[in-house]
Amino acid sequence: MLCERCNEREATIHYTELVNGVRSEHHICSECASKLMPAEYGSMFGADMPFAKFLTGLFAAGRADADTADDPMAHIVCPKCGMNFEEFTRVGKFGCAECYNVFGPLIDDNIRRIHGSNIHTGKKYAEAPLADTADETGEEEINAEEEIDLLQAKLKEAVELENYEDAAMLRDRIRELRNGN
Amino acid sequence: MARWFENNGPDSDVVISSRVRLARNIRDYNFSLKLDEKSASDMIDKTMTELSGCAEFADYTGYNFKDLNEYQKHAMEERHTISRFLMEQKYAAGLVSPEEDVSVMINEEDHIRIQSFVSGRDMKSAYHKASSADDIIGRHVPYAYHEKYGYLTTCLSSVGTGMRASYMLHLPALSGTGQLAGIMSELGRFGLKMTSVFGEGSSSPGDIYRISNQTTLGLTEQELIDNLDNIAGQIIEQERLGRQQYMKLQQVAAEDAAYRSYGVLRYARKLSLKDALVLLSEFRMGLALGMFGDNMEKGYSVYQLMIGIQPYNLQLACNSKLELTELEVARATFIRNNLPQIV
Ligand SMILES: [Zn+2]
Ligand SMILES: [Zn+2]
Repeated sequence: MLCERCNEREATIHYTELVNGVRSEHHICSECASKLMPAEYGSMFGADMPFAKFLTGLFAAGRADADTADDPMAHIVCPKCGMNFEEFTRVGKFGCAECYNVFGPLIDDNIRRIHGSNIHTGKKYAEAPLADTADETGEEEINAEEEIDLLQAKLKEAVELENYEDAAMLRDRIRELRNGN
Repeated sequence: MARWFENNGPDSDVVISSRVRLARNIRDYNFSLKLDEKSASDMIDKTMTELSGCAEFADYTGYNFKDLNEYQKHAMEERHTISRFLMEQKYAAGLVSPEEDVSVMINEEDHIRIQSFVSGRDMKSAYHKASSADDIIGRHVPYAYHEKYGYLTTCLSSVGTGMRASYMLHLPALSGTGQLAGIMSELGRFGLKMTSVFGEGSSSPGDIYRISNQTTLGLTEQELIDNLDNIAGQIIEQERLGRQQYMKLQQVAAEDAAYRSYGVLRYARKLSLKDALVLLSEFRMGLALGMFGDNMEKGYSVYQLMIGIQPYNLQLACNSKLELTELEVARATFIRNNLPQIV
């Protein structure tokens, strides 16, 4: 296969790139590889910048003038572990699983900048069903109803936050559940 | 039974090992940052009880930091059985397979870190081993998993697959000719990173480097591994070219360096860690280039010496605390006793 850049030399480097959720296959020769301009997310890792600093930097830049007392972001707190938005951006770490629901939607752009995507496509996890509820069909129906309610609440939130990608995903999932999976 | 670092695997002239680490958290506990000591102990005990009862882990050795001294913990870290992060934790526990190739760490930066090693270049097997352990553990403890973000981790930099795959590479030619800095700075665009295994910053005695994926979300485990393997393959080829060039242009100097290194390793009566690593690196490259002929024990893993001469493994082997000079003497003795003979 010829290099996609120079169309002269044999492509020796093959890789999948993700930028803003768009996946593309690349085949380039090693000479062209050394001339490539760094991709946006790539340069993040080229420099040895710790994530905390990176995240703090991004937020600080946009919020330098914001008065913390009036800043609505300052009041966002994870109900499970008590992490607040200020601490989250300062340490750059999540305090519990619920934090992802609380802070995740606020940093979607950053997630995409770091990973090139904000949606997991790898190995899926299905929790082992508990022996005593697995064969009770009645319970499963209730669970589906509950999940639909929960998803609809999330959908509403996603639309309000203009997070249309998530909204579309949630809508699909609700449809699936309504059609009996 | 031979441990993973006592064998050579595919492409062992350059590749020492393939490693996969999976980060997992338990749904109902706060993550490490917000986990108080009492909850941490509770999480460790419950998880250990669950996992110790698994038939699949029956031949694994369980450990708890409550029962280990500092030497034992450091020696495990030097052998890569546990991470540095875990070693520095006050409370921790885990399981290790008989060949030390699979390790489950509990109360790392994430609640559970599953790690697998395979000698040489074989990431497929390394992933398979880690993923199988993951399947078993996931059936016994409920993971923190998100429909959109995948496996949830303390750091955003591991979320999604939670997977860090890495090759440990011996790169004396690329490092000796100064080409490595350039390669390292270019890896970011492929979502990869390279670090030195021994030593800090630009100094890397032993010329051993680790290359790993930096991004974890959006691509599948297979895609992440393919990307890493393709780029690592390039580096391996460049290292081989560099070695061939060296042999072609300076054969006498190259052989002299390898044999001199062997001589010092064979006869020295005390060795600093840095000097020993530098000499072992020269020797390892000479061995890979066939300089020692067919008489040298085939498939000898020089890397086991690099691990064996680390300070805590030496002290553990001697069963006593050693001062610096004693340590250097013990190191030279260890090498003398374990270095293969030139017949
Ligand atoms: Zn090209
Ligand atoms: Zn939280």
